[in-house]
Amino acid sequence: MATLEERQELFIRLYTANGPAIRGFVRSLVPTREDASDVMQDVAVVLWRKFTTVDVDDFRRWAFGVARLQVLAWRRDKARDRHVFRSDIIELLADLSGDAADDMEEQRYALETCLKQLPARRRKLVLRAYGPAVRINALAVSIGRTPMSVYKELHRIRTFLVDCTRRVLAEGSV
Amino acid sequence: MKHRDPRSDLIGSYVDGRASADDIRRLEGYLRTDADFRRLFLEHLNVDGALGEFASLADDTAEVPARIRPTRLLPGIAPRLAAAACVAAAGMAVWALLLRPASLSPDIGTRIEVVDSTRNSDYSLGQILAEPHVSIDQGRVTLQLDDGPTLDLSAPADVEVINGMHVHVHGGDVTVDVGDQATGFIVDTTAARVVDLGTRFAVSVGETGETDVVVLEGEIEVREPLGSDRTSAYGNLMAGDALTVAASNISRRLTAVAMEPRVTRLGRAEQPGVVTGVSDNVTDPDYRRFYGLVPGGMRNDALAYTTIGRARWRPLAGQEFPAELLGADTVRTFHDDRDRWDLEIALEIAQPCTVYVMFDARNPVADWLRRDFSDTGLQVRTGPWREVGIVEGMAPHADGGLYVTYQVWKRDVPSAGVVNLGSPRTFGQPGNRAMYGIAVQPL
Repeated sequence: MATLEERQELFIRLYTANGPAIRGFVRSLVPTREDASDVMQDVAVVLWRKFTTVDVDDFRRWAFGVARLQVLAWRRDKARDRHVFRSDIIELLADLSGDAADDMEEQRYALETCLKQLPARRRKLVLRAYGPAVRINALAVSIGRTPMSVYKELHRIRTFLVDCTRRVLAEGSV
Repeated sequence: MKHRDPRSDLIGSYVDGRASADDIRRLEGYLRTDADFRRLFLEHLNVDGALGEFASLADDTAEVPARIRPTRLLPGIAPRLAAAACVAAAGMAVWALLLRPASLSPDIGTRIEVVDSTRNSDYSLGQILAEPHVSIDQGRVTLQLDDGPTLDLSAPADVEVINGMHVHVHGGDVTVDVGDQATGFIVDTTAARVVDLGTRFAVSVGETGETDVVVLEGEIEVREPLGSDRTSAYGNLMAGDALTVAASNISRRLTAVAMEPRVTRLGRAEQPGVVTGVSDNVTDPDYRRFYGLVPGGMRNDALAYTTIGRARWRPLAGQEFPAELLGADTVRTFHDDRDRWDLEIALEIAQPCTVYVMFDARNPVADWLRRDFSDTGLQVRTGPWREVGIVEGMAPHADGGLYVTYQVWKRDVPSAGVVNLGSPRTFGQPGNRAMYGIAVQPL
């Protein structure tokens, strides 16, 4: 029987390998990155607590299942919030997200290539805007722009990155 | 000409968290019926999530950080290395959770070092703390987390370090200096969550959980406490702002804060000052400026305002600082007040004293000042100023700096009570002048 320390090492190893995929899965189901962070904290706790009962070869599928339940629990808590998707949409997206997990992982790796293709000014803006706890309103003030213009530019950047990652993956140049 | 799918903007609003309830319903319609749109939506959110990871790894935001590709780790890799990758991949909050099983070491993966302490505290300089829970009953101790943010605790204080970017203040006064590298640092109390936006700020938590938040430099955001089901926030506070948030989620402006003379941090005087409180007649509920109370703080180089870090009290060029003012309690005012022609400030005075008002010498003397105070004939300066409107058109002094000169007025107050001061400007008076300063010397 594995010791607690061995179990912890194995868990960290598996979580390290699958964390970005789990996080991407959760992010696809909740409205904001902050929501995703909140849910991920619960997911991590549940994964660790139930880790003794899981088949390590099936960790990702099991983790996605846990994450899905945690998102639905989070959704129940937000039942009256009209800014949250209805449960059937969350189920629909969860199915797609689970099926496309490998593609999404490849997209994340392609993103590194595409970020380097951004002009330096845009790259700096997007990495700054996505920094921990950065608020777009405050960022906009600090660079002398309106929040709406920053939001629009960030969307244009993401659209470029989505198109770029599709192109890079199609060319097989990751 | 390429036409963009108008539904793309809906995705953008959703990803940014700006989508309205109507937007959400429209999105749901598209997601239910269009598989290609579902896929596009998923890819946008995947990019959004991954950008957060890249940004958290970036040291220089102009560079793309190399991403850790954790496809399969070999058994021989040390757990700590795996854990480090886990930090990058999953974020600090998850890291903290994973490494805090109760039966294991109290290690939270954050180095907590004592970088300053008073003799009467229980901590010594250079000590590395093994426990994330820090409580002091006397003295003062300054902790540094992972060679980054510092926490200045004044007894009694009780703080729990969650990780290098997150602490929970259970009670007492804590000044947080986050610096430029730790934007996003979080301080939780039972009444509020304070998120740093690149700054120095102080948090004081009372026995009931009531939380005072004071911004000393930069900007912070004050949110509902962790776990609250309320979504409203108290908004952003700038340098010179202070707010009290009660555990009942009611907030109010904090008008007066005790501070130290030469630095922008909270003070804890051994002896109470002559001025015990300051208030004004500003009733705007969104107004959050505070007055700084600095017992014994008047001297050369003392900070003059709560909103401006550069302007300090100075003697006239080539002269000594006026002895009459030295060691007086000061009240740091703030510059927003200089334009309020109907301003009234009330000083609560605890003992007989002389109240001094340092009044911009360029201004016409206000009626209330001429009526209630007498001119001492003394002058002091503040500066050096940057080239802002206040000093527009002024010639640099001999050292090359820009300074504002103040005429010093005084009034003897024979007993404890309230002293009222008026506006620095009269109605209709044009010009961009400095707010007056206040000093109080016990008799």
